[in-house]
Amino acid sequence: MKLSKHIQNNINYILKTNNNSSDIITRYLSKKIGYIFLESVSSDDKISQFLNQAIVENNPKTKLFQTIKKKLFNSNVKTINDLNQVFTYLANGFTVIFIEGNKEAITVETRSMLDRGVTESNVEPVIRGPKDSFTENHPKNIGLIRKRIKDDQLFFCDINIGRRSKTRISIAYINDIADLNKVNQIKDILNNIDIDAIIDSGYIRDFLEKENTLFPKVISTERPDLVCTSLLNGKVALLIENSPTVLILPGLFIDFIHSPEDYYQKPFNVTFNRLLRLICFIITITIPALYIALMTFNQELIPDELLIQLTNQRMGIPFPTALEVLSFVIVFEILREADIHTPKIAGSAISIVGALILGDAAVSAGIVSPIVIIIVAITSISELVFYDVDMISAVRTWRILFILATIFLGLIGFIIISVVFITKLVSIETLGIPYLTPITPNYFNQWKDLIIRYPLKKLTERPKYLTNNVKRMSDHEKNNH
Amino acid sequence: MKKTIISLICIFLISGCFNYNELNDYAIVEAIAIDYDNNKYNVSMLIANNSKLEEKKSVIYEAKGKNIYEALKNIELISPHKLYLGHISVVVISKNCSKKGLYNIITPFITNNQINKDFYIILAKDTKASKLLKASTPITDFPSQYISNNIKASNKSLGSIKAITFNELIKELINSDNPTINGYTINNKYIKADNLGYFKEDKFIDWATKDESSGINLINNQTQELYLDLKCHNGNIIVSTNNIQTKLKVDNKGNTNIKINGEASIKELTCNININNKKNIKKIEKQTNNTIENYINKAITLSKSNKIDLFSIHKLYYQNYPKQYKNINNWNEYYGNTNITSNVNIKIKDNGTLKQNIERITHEKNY
Repeated sequence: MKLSKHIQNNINYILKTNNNSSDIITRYLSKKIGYIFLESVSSDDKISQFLNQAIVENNPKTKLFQTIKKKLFNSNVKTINDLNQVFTYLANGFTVIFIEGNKEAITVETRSMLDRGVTESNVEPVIRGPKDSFTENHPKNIGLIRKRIKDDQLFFCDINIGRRSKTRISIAYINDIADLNKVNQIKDILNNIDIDAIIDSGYIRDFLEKENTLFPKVISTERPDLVCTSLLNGKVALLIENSPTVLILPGLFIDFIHSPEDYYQKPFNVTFNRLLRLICFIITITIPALYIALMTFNQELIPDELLIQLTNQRMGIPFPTALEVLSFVIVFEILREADIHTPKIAGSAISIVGALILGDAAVSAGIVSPIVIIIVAITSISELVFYDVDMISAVRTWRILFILATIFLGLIGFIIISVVFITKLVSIETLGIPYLTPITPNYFNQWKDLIIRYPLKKLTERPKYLTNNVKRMSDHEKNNH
Repeated sequence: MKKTIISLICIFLISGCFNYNELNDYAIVEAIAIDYDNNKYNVSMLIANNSKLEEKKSVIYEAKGKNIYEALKNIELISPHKLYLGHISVVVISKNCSKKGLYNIITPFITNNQINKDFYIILAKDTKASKLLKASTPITDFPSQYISNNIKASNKSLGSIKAITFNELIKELINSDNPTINGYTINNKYIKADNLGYFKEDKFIDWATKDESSGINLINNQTQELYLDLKCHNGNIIVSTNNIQTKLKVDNKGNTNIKINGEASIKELTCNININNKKNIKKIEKQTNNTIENYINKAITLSKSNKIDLFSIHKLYYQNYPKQYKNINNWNEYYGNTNITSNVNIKIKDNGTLKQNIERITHEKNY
């Protein structure tokens, strides 16, 4: 619908379509000039500064439209002539100026910053390394990446998704490193999304993962440094407006074992940390299942004196071992779920109930044996080593599957479910790359930064499975000779 | 996908927990003692007590039967829990029982799939087997633990003791070797390791003396450490050997040469002798060799006079001269007439910081 020549008609039309929404402010400066903005997303200061200065101080008599457009003290000034577009601009924090007798309107950016400042990441804290994290502010997020990589090949490609939310999504990649086929593949997927609204990056992630698997195939992070290292390795990042979580594609298994902190500490110490995380991954999935298998099927594998200890502990406990373990694994998950959603003030109550009452009292009441509490504690602590929430949930589900398998078949069940588990893990694919790369398929050169981390000067190559532009740095070792 | 899900469900649900057993439904058997009186086997079991309240850590169940299996079943009548035989560490056999033959005892242990075949076998000397289980033991919780720890600790370090596990015993019986099994006795309420008992095939013959036991173990390469008490003009020299290696050689007539190499060190010195002097060391070495040869000769005469090949020379002979071996009808008879020579070569390597008898040093300084 075209704009009308009369400002009164235009403004009335907008008010009518929005059912006189309470945050719409209109003002007529004279009979010939009127403007409209949303007080909820615009900054009053900016409006008075830009508009009133331009209009009131200059007070032009003739050629109103041209003079105002010229004199406006703002770098983001546009003209529009479609009445339906007006509200999109208003919602983005623009002020729209109508001038009597003109079929075009002037829009001026008067957006107010509706966000918190750049804060420390709560979800992915590190001991050493940059502390800043992404916020809900889109330009700021882009800025956080831009200030780390000052390269003209760092591209941000924008797409708007969402019928109603019109969320801005920026695809970030480094043009001469990233595999452009994969970038196009991602663009295709995004363009095909037809949805009411994208509220958070989680909405997008569902569309990016074609097959349903428990394990995350997209890295979600709040840390700009992780995004930058990923981009430099040839990965692609998606920044979603209003979401502090940035998605990185493709996410492989090994990325969840690594931490951005790994590159800020001494290499061989990091090797130990990574090994620890890998061991934790195995422990947290298998330990309760192994316990059940040993206790109820394969007692011959327990050493003499331990067996007598365990029997003594089990004495008088009315439930089967399996139920004991399963119920306490679930009790821990309840505690964790409750802890996430309780405000920090009530947090201490949870820990008292959890640690003292459930742990100690359950043992002295003779409902569970102390060893089960130890098993569950080891399992749940090992689980919390990982950053990614999806990884934690995946591990939890598999743990319960392992437990169920051993309840029925003991160690044989354990082996069967292990085979299923490994087969599943190997057959996952993200953007055409198998999940366990570079372990299988094997990229031996990449093993320098797999579990063992070599010093950075020896990591001269980017991963071959992500990029064709492999050389990352000149060979320091050779240059020295 | 459907097929895999269905097959997985089948695997897990149809199996019906095939071997499921809660740990506290078991009575964990730690040790078994087998006696034979009045034509009946008397089996006692030492069971780890799994109640938290009682102070006594073990319980003993006893039952009689015409054969071992029946006795085991009779014990199940007494026990409130299922018997769990997977963790037996020691089986004690009485003298009467072993005179009747080991084959009768072994079979129920072989056929039971629950039993771990790595437990030790010992003989009860001068006492009933069941009394060994009832004996009080310091430090450890159970007599069985005490015995197995004792065997592990003193095997190879005390010349007269030999550890034999069930697996090894079966192997020896199958090879028609004549096994020797260590005897244990009760001394002042406590369990104490004693000398070897020797068998002809599966039947117990008699107890060896301490010297004979040491000799048998030396020839069978079961010993590494052995302490010797050597006489010296006005005192004693205690020598301890280590790293003893024994090699047997057989010629085509069945005559055997025993070669023993090893090292020794002086541990105690109470006589007037300067061990800084190489001549004296040579003397001690000669004395050591003579003592060891004496042990060996005692063992040889024991085995020859009884016509029992305790050193499995027949196996060695068969391996080297299979044709000649087949011509021999009765090896044990033949064995009694063969010559066994020994060749002991122990060298004293280490005498610590000791140069001579301390008494003598102080004496010299007073002058």
